[in-house]
Amino acid sequence: MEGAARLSGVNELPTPTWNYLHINDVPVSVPTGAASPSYPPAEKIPGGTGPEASAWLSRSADARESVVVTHGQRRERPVELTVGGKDDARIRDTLVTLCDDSEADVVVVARSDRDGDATCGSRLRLDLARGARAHVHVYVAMHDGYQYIDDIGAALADDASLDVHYHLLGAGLTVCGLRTENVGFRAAVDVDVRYLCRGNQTLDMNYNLRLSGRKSTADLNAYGVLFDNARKTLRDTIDLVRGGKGAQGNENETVLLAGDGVVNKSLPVILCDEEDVVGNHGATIGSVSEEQLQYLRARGLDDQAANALFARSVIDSATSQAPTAAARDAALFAARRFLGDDAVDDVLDASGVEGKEEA
Amino acid sequence: MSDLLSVSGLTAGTEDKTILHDIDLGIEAGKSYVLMGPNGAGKSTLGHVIMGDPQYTVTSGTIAFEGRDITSETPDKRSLAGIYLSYQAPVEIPGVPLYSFLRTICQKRPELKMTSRQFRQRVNEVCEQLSMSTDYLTRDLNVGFSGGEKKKVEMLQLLLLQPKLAILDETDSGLDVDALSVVSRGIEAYRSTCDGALLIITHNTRILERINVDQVHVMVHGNMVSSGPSSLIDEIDREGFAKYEAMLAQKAQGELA
Repeated sequence: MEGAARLSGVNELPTPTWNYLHINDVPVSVPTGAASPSYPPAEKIPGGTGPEASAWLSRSADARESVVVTHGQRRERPVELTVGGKDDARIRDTLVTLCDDSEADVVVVARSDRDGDATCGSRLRLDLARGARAHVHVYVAMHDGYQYIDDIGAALADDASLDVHYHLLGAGLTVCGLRTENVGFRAAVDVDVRYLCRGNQTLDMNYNLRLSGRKSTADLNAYGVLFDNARKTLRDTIDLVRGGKGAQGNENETVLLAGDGVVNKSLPVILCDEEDVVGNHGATIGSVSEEQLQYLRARGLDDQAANALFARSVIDSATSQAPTAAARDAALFAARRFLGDDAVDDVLDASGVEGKEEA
Repeated sequence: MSDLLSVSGLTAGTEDKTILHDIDLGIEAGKSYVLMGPNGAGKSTLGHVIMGDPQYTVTSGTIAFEGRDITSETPDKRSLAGIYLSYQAPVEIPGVPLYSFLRTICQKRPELKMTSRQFRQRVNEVCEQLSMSTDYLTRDLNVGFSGGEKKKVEMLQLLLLQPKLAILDETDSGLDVDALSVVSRGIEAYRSTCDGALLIITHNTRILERINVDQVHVMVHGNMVSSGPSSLIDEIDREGFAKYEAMLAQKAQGELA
């Protein structure tokens, strides 16, 4: 029988703040089952969830994969990494190496077939050589008994680019961390986060975008809606490291608080150890205003329908951008949970996707 | 012919101030009305009270739509019944793409339900009619839109929803000549495709040049002071509202005496 251990320093802030704010990290308990040896090739690139969570994922992984895309090649099929489903691995540890000027899509999907109390995760390391391009999609849509840990670390050489699209559509506890390291000259990182959280779900995110290369850029946009008693923490750090002259980082967050019991914590940070750099931060955080609700009412939407519209917008984005059938099914699972069974066909219809949901 | 909308003895305002005084207004199906008056006359307030905006309280009088008293009904029910208010300053809603919004508000109306393909086709047609790029559809509702673009979005909704009564609250304000022409085209299209009734709230006359107006109402200081044929528009254009302000003052003096 498995015991439980508490991981420390998970999603830890690069520069801790007051402890009483309870935002410096997130407490995570994980099962202490049989652990396999660590996966050495990926150790040189740190992940966003921190060393302890990353090491635990690596030790506990029941599926390991190393993918290499050779010089100048475009990998036609995405690297598909699904966890949590009946025939899926529980925890994956993956290294994707993109050689010079190569390109690949990576799709991580965390899903569950039925309610349970499992811990699932993915540890993904991306090693991008000069001019390489990686497009990562992360979909999380699980039952409330699950906790999911997503750990991404990426190194980008000169002129490499990484875009990461998160659709975080619910699990009992979702922990997401992303860290970029050794970012080269003119390398670019683009992170887009869409999330929904309801009931007593918790979502904890830590994005640490370190820009060390001259003229490197990072953009982070987060949009989400919190319902009921959901709790969300977003730590987004743009770290303008010494040597990265001309680097630019932008972070922007919009969160709608659509429940009386929600807890929303945001900690945007711009660290600067270099001159001639630009860092911008913007945030819109708040309840849906009475003026906005009145506009929606005047278009025939009562307050319940308005909340459904906010959820629907995230789910429409998840469905229309889904790069694989598994990602689309995760989006439809969320559609059912947030909008009801009747909405699934309409979401499919509106996304322009032909065919019905897979069994 | 019975009225589509019937406002009788309506007095309404905010918590601390009465804005509308004993207003009577009848609107027949398929006809066009203009509500004119100087700034602060209460024209927009009347539009919002008809729509059921909760920031205003009705202290006396009734609003009936298709013979049914809707005075205490919520705005969403009034909208679904067929009343549309085009906002003077449409709100921005971050995170909600325009297309998702349009799809949702149309889906709420059983008479407008259609397949995704039909809906996309319809939206594209209307966008073309309004010289509006379909790129707007993927952007968040009104976020970062110019004043003219926001008014086009109001027209886009009007043409998709095809309400029985459209109240256009100063849809012409802040528009340049080209945008005004587009909005006028939208209004014409609404009138020709669904024969809906129009109540145009304005205090200038340019937007009315291309519309066949059946009746003009004039409001001053929250009072309905005059009604007449479309020739009133030219008269007001020439002479302004001074005459109507004097009429109201005279009436008030008479009541005092």
